[in-house]
Amino acid sequence: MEQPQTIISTKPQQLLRTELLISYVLRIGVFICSFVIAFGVIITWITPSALNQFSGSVLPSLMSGQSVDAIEIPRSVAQFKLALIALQPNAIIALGLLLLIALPIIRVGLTVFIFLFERDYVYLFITLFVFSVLISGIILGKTI
Amino acid sequence: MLHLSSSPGLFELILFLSSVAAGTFGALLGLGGGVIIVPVLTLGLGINIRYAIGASIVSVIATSSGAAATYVKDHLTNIRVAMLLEVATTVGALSGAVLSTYIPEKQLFLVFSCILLYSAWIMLRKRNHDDITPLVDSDYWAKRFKLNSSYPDHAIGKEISYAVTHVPLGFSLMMGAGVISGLLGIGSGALKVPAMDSAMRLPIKVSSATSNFMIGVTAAASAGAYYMRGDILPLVAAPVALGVLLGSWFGTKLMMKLHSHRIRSLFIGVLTIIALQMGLKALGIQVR
Repeated sequence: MEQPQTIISTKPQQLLRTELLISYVLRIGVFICSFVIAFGVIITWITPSALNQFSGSVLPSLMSGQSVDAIEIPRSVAQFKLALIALQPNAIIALGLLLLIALPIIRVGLTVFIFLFERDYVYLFITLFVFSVLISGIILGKTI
Repeated sequence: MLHLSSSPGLFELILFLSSVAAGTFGALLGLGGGVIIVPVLTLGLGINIRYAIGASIVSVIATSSGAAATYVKDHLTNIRVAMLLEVATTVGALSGAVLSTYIPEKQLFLVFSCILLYSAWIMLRKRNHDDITPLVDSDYWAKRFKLNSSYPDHAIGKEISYAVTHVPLGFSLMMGAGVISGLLGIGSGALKVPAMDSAMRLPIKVSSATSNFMIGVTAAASAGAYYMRGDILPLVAAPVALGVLLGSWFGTKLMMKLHSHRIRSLFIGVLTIIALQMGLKALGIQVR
């Protein structure tokens, strides 16, 4: 079996550096999300009321295929602030999940700047276009 | 199955472990992991399909971000191909989401199923040249948009250069893939990999890594809507997110070690399974 060797790349330096930056940002983002979500799960487990609500009423309905609209998730910045200050576990988890959802968008935004600095105007335009379609999708999504 | 509803810990553990598997396969093959997550949640745990799809969307984004962190650093992902094709997929996905009110789902599942079977067939025919990708003549668009590149294949210890071809075809296919996944809310990776591999002649590892990079963007576009609708339940999505992130890390390690032809064979197998799942849905065999 081959050992992982150092393979000499023929790619231009610039492209390689770009790739490292994106990778680094994604890695940090993933760690932050994981910590926030894990923290929320831990809080759920040590908060008796939250745990009881989950195992007592939510879980049985969930596993019989019903909708569980009783679960409150924060849907606005104001709701988030209140819920997070109160250390509501669902809100903490939701925050981590929203951060996770934001990661691909952050990554596209970052790529816009990278192409700007590299003066690659063709790809700058392409990436800006994708970014705007993404943002429109989110805005439209809120109205669905 | 019935005692589970009184042991939340076991429930979460099952979700977590299935998600690790989903993340591993997803990262390795350029998929989002829904092929494992949706059946486990609906058939295994009896959960309503809307929450399964919400969880699947989280899984796609987690696989994408988790794997991309490694693949981009390992220079497997072709960022230019990804960005160029994302123009097609995002426009397609948005159109699909808008059209979803008008088009009945059953027909869609049937169409999707047929496309997947066809893709699996095409990929099967292409099996023989994996470890040495012949240097195809790149087309005008590939040169114009600087798509040709190279990647380090650690299973064989060499840097492989590759050329990209049939870009307009790939672009159209991506548009179609975007529309279908916008309409159904799932499945973009299963269409992206064959398009890049068979139509545009990218090496399978690059197709998979680039697909991983792209699926997160497509999913993020509709994830906001699903969250607002309440389809992303924190205590369902949390173990899924964590499990998939961990699994995707395993998947990237596997990607390094496996030879291309094994990855291709595995992909063809999973593609066929997804096609069958979709076919069953089309025939109205209710999953729940």
